[in-house]
Amino acid sequence: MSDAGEAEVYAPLTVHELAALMAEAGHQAAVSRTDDGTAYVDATVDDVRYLAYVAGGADAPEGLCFSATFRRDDGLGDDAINAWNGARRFARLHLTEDGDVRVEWAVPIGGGISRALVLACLDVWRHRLGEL
Amino acid sequence: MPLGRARVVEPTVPLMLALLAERGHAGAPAALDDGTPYIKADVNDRVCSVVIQPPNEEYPLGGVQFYAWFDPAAEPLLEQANRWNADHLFVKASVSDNGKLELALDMPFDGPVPRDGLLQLVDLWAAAMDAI
Repeated sequence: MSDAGEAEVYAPLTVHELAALMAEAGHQAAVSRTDDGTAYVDATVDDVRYLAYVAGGADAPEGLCFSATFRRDDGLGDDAINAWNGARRFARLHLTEDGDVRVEWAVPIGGGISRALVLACLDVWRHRLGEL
Repeated sequence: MPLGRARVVEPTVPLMLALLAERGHAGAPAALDDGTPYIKADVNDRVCSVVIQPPNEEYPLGGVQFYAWFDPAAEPLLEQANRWNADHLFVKASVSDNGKLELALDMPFDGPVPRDGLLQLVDLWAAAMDAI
């Protein structure tokens, strides 16, 4: 009925594979590590810096995650943030404890994710960053 | 790491009903006023809706969407939504036009997706229903 056979997927998607796909999509991407050794991608697209990582770790990835933080000097208040969240799919904003605005998107990737879908998600993320 | 192969399925209402049942959640097919099919489900004693959103002009990626709405709590709703979005990776909170707290989970797809990924989605939603 719904069974569509088999397909090629990244299962698991590694941070290095993610960085390569980001570069292919025209994003500047460099793998880095947090103080505790967790790998992530330090990236820039259209002059906006953001982070990308695989939540859940390499052994059991749960999510392909994007995050960027902006100073809250652009007039974005609680109501505007809620309106932004209500009007858009595939990303959301929140205020951090420091009063900055953070935009995040976590794509569930349990079971794997295709190359084409990673690239499509990068396009959506780039578009969302352009809306801020 | 090379791409692997995964069993993939077309996201459909009947399939999502089957996956909900596989995880022990009740669901029944329903339809919006315009005839759009969806699932009215009970996940961990929370009433929610599951929609297979096809791609469209605004969103070239489809979405497997879970929604639930909650009546206002004592805490101001905008603050509650902001705290949820800061603390939870996959499920977005916003305040709806009719003053309810709305939770939404939206997994993008561009074709068949790994069946295990849809099961993970059900589990992510169930965890959110426990957390709210």
